[in-house]
Amino acid sequence: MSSDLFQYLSLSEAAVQLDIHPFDIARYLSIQKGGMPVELRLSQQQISQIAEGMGLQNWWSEPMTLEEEDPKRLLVRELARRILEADWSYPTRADNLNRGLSGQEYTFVRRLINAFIKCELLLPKSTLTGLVIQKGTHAQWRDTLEAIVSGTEFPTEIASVMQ
Amino acid sequence: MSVITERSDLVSQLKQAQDWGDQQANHWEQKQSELKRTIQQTEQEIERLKKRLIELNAQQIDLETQANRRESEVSNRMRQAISQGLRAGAQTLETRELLLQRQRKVRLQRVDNIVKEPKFQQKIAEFRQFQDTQSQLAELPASYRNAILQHHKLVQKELEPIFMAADQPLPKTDKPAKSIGVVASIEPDFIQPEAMAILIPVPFEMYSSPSAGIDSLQQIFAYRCVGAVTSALRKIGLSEVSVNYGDHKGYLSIQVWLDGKKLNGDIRQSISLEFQQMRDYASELQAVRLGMEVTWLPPELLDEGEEL
Repeated sequence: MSSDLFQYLSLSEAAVQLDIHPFDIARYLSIQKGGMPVELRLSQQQISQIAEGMGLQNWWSEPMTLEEEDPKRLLVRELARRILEADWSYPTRADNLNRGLSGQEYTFVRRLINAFIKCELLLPKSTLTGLVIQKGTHAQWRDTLEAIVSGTEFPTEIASVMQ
Repeated sequence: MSVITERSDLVSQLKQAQDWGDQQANHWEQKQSELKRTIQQTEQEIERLKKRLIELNAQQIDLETQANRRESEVSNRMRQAISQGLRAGAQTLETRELLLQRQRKVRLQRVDNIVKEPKFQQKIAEFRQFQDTQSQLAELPASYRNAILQHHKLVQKELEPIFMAADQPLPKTDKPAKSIGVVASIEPDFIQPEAMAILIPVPFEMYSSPSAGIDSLQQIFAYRCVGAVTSALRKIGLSEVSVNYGDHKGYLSIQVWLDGKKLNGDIRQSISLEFQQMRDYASELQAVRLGMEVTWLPPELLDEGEEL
């Protein structure tokens, strides 16, 4: 068989590889120069270009460093640490914030991100390729995040998700 | 001797006055009775007309009721037509899926036939060897690595006929062309729209539970529709819009919240052009001779409505 010579992936397969929704890849490809490919099959090189062009990041690729017995509190504190250490010169895709997690952890962090948005530690913005997140407008942004990281104080919106 | 008594002028004058009075009395009495009769006739006519008016008003109400019922019936039939159209579209995608698989096999067979040619065998073996060891290239000394890469380029060049065959568009089926109906709706109007929905005949699960593997025709159609909508929005200057995906009776609805944003162009035209481009250039759709037709309908027709 010749198929192994070419190593093309379908858009669905590329989406699984990049841990992103296939619709988001379709949206991204449609606004690139030349639009969507004539045939929806992607080489490994194209997939790498998509990942770079879309600014895909895996916020949970690095191991958790904080010490915490309660798994929910650990995720909250770790997420706050990652937000605090992130480069906010540019917005980041919303799905970057939970990429690398799965199952209950994934669901919990998704809810958590909404809570961070509610208390203005994160600011969402809709774009043609999906939701992006910017640094929030909270007046005590750094202090509040540091308090969460240290586990001394949690804003009400975040505490309610932890229960 | 009798004396002839002549009537005095006084009496004559009085008599004349009396006679005139009597005549006048008769005349006015006649006039009055005529008028009375006319009034009576007119009153009877008014009564008749009033009754007629009541009848006509009742007829009007009846007609309005019937018209409303008819309008509602038309809406229900339109909703039913939408459901049937979407179902037919979904069925077409399912049946043409088999054709797409066949056309993929046809192309693959053509490539396989070239791959089997003896003159390529050695180069194919070298190409596969390169693929297998590619990840270890970085560990090799630069001079050795460069030599391998240069040789690989030569191998690739010699295998060009195979790559060209693999890059050919999918062959077209000889089956008759079919068109898929897509429903589009905008609210409240095209000038300053608040929301837009594009309803396509693929299951909502394409969004809610995306699956991996080789893309089916339904998946390709969904991805291309999502892409077409995105591109259309960009071309009319909308870059910060919220796009959501809804479940409309099991089908996928692409929902765009426009919030009355200023448009740099006609949204209908932009959407139509993108779908036209998709029909004309997408290899998979061309291969199975599948077109699509966007129909703009009022948003109320996408509501639940009454069942027929």
